[in-house]
Amino acid sequence: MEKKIFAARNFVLATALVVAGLSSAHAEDKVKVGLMLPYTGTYAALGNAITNGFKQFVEENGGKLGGREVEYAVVDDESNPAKATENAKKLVSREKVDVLVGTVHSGVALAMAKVARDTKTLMIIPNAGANDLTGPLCSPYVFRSSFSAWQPSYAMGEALAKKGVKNVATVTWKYSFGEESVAGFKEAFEKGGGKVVKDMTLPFPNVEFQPFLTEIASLKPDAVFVFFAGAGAAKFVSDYAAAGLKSSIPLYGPGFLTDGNLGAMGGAGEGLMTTLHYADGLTTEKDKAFRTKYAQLYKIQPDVYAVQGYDAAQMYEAGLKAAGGDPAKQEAVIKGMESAKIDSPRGAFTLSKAHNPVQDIYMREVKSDQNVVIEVVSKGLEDPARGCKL
Amino acid sequence: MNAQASLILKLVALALVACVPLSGESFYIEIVGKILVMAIFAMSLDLLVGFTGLVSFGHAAYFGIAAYAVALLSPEYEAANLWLVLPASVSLSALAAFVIGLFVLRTKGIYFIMVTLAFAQMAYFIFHDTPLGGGSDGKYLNNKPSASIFGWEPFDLSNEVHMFYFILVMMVLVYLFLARILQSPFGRALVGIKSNEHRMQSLGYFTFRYKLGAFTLAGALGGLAGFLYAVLFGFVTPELLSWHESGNVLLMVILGGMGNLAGAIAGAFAFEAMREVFADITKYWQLLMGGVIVAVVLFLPGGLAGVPGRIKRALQGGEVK
Amino acid sequence: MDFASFLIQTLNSLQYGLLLFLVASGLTLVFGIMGIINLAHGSFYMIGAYLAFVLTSATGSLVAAIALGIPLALAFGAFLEWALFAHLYKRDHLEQVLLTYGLILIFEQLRSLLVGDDVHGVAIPDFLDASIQLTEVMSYPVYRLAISVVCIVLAVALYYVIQRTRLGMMIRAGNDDEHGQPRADHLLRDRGHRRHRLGVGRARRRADRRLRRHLRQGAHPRTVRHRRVCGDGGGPAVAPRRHPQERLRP
Repeated sequence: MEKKIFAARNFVLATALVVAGLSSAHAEDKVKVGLMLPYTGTYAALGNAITNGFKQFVEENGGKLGGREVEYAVVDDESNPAKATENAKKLVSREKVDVLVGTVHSGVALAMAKVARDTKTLMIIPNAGANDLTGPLCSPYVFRSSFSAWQPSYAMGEALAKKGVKNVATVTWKYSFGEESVAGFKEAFEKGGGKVVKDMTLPFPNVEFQPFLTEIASLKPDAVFVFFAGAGAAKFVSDYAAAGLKSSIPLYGPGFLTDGNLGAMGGAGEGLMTTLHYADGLTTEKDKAFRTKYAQLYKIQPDVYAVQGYDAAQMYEAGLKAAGGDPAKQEAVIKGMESAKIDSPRGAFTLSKAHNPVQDIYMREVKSDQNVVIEVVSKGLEDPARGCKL
Repeated sequence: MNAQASLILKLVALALVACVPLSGESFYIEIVGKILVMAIFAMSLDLLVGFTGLVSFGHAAYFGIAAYAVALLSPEYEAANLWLVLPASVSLSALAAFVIGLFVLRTKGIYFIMVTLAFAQMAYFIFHDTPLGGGSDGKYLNNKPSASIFGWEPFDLSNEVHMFYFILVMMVLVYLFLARILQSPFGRALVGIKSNEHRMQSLGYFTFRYKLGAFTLAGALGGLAGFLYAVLFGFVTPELLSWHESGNVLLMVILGGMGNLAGAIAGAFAFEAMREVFADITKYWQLLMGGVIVAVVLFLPGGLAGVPGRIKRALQGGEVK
Repeated sequence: MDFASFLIQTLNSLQYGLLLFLVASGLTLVFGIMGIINLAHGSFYMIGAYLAFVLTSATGSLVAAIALGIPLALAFGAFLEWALFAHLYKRDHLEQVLLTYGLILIFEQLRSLLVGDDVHGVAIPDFLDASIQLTEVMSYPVYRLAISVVCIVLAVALYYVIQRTRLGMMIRAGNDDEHGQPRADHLLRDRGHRRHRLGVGRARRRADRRLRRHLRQGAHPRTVRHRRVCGDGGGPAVAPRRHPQERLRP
């Protein structure tokens, strides 16, 4: 603004200034954010929620990050890993973004993380939970504002062992995230003295669960732990209730089981207990303000994905602030993010050495159409980041 | 179009593509590199679909097998040797094509389409459901293979310009190789099989052996494309073997016009360009893509390669059929 | 596994098999009779599910949704046949595969545009919303059994129509294209397009004659009949037929 007034006064000098520093002057004005998220396909709703959350924070922050106007470059990743590298490179080398934000699908996020590492671009993952991203593949440039697959499942394992549950059967889709979830659960549950009597898997994204329900009925475990999400989760929960198992064998899982699909279950989910780093009915001021604003802006209720998008923006803001608002001072941005304490709607969190949130995990219960918080089952849970050399 | 004009046109196009690295924009160098890789892939499929009459709907399997081979054969922290890992990956794809070919070539028509699809799905699930290549998350190729021969390094694949020209040279070699093959008695026999297999048999040809040869060769060249893809992007995922990729490459062949090697290359360019342009216009770009596919099938059965002929015929008297 | 579980698993597989049959029977008709490979068959399945959801939300009753949905689905199918598939009968399989692949993309995007990307459920109507206790912990939902009954009824009806009616005879004749003779449905399409669907007219008589001639030439009537019902399509070759010349050396 100041520069413009100045230019009006002294045109010649201003022209010289612009010519001398065209690129730097441009960069000084704006910070460029690359959103690489799914806007079509199975995860489209998640991609939209993350985008909404991110933009909400920017708006609350006066339309700026680090004191600069924000410019977006948006790519639909279609949750297709086969095109992920290409899409990420488009943002990095064609759009020249300062930060890469994405994505939901773990396979796509892995490809993005490789691009971020190779091109030394800052990246914030607002959902994808693959343990490896902040484990053996961790990098100074890669941050995560969400969770690792290990976190909510490990907390559930601890909680069930503490409850005195002895035998558990598990069911999940046979793909990386499902297997990592079950492994995290098993680790904590068996450490606490429980026993996993049977691990069952079915190919992703099959939804014919009846044979597994029959198997569960004949095994008669004390409880069942599952990882499913979205439409598949809604069908599993409905089938589980229809098979009459819900009243005799309690069902547990990470919160994705009952997130964003309670309407589709039509009451079958009532009373289910799940663990996650976010819940409905949190009493903090921050969460209340966030939810009111979100509902006002987008006419829908926010979910955990919106929170993760919101926090991705908060994390970057913290980094930029530490660097005096200059995205080019990458080391300072990274330092700032590493040491930031993020005042998230889910409750404040910090980042671990491997750049994954150190956060509270809630036990939640389904009441009508909400996942209402019961208690904090794991305080400040940190992913072990096995294999990370940071 | 006479042969000379066609040759000149091809050389001009080649020269234009070769100028891409002069732009200095690494995004464009990479995207054109990728298109050239897809052009190799499309040509390899055209050998089957366009020249031998075998509609394989599982060609992505050989692409993916070689891509995984290079990622799995390379050591974790250092570069593999290009001159070992390239032939090894391509041979693995060729071997897979040979074995699968023994089974699928006993079928015809729709059954051939479905059985090739089924085998490709098997390969897909091997990588998707087993920890072999990192499961559904895929696997990194951290270091590009080194081209050193006894310490002498003619080029460096981690340099994007070198990589681009390496791919370009490979594509030209594949084109020349296939063009030569198709002039040979073997190639003539394949074209004969396409137009009338029974007649070829009655002439004494063991058509099964010829088809198996073509299928293996196409698998090997598809593998070469997969190898180049993995080296270019440094990341492999089970989705490379998915039936969508098989469908996409078929589409490139159709778009370019079956039975025309240069058409396959043009098809690859047109397909990728469309994807880029549509994705920039709208987030519902797949709707446009689907519309184009339907329109091409309905109104442009000869593909792009048929367009000059159509225009010519239209000018000469409107007898377009 | 105890015997009770074994029985329940058998029931599960039977029930799932019947459901798959229902999906596959439509594909068989399209592929076998019209000779078209329809990769977008799964999209029709999806459209049916969304019709059920949209109409149930609008009318408040699944039964009403089914009553409305079936004519809508028929109209939609007829429209697609007229607009697209009618141009494909004489094309080769490759083009059919591609066109229907394009349709998958279109349907998926239109679905996203029209209904959004959220997960929805359809409530089971009250009179089916019960379960039967099988073991002490396991019960079987009545709805699943009802689906099985629907599948069985449709299977019997299809069998009857194809085996016992004139229309069925037409359909079987339409499928029979061995020995490189013109397909009956092409003849029908050329001459008696409408009549074919009603099952009357000269075209039908021609097809009947052709079928009889074909049977005289030695094909066993059972193979002709069963191929249709089993849905293997009866294309030119399941396994390549041995040609006498194949064994000759030059």
